[in-house]
Amino acid sequence: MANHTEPETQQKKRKQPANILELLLALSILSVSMYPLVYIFRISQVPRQKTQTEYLATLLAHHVIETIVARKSVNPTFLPFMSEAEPVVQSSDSVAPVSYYFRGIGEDGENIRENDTTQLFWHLKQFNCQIDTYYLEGALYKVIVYISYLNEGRKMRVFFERLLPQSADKNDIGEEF
Amino acid sequence: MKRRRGELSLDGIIILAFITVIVATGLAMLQFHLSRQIEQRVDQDITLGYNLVLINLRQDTRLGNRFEITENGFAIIGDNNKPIAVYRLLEKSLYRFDESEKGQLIINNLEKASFKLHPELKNLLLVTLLPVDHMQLPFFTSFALRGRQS
Repeated sequence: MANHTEPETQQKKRKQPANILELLLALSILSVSMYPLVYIFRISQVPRQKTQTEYLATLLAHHVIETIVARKSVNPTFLPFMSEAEPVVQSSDSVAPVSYYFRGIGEDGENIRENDTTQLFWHLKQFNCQIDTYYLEGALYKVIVYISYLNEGRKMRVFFERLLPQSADKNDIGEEF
Repeated sequence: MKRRRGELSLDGIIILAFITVIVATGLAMLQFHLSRQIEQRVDQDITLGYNLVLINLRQDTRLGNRFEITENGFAIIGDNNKPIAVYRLLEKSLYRFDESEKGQLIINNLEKASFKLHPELKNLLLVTLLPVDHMQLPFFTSFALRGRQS
């Protein structure tokens, strides 16, 4: 009789559902084994991709900063002035003046217009350029370049900042942030 | 002994975990292999090529003190009137040649490239790149020389 009852109890024991400790152990092992997978996907992920419009706005802001650097290098007393948001191309449906930093840079030495051979007009038409400036302590001058555009009805802005010396030191062309 | 449906032993769970780690390792190797194929990525995303233009030109203009516009590109001239780097547009691709004339492909599939000096500032280069695919983003920005100005 004893031989018959022992396997039955063993079977009963095995049929018992897994206890909470076993479940937690299984869960923790599975979680740990998933970590390398998650980690690998995280490190191999391409950095947040800018939209094409945002990328082009960044290039335009770079153009303005580089123009300021070039002017400062030629004329050490040069300090950029403040300006409202102005278009970067000359368009027939706008009477606003083209931003100072985008004047005369077309193929023919004029502003970028609709018939410009570089076909840049339609890509750049949506952008406006605004300059903010501040006098800071320590004879520094802060320039903030904003390139703005509309994205699904919302105004988006890309900005670059640069600190310039107020002094006329030819070798000092400022610091970029 | 009869196992119930859906029940998994501890050994089974460990095997499953082991398989997951093996798959993750395989995926990692694949990801790194793909990330090394830069030219393929440039074809897929033109901004990667544009980033190479930005990185190289920013680096070269830090040292250069003069631009020299040529027929199919431009050169950045450093001290002793020696070119630091020469950029040439050859067969719709932009190449950078260093001091030892070693060429490096920067970006391909360009319909047009324009390199010209700012009308007022001779130390500012205006760069425009138009890709063959008109739906793609054009490249337009400038680079100022930061080397010692003569």
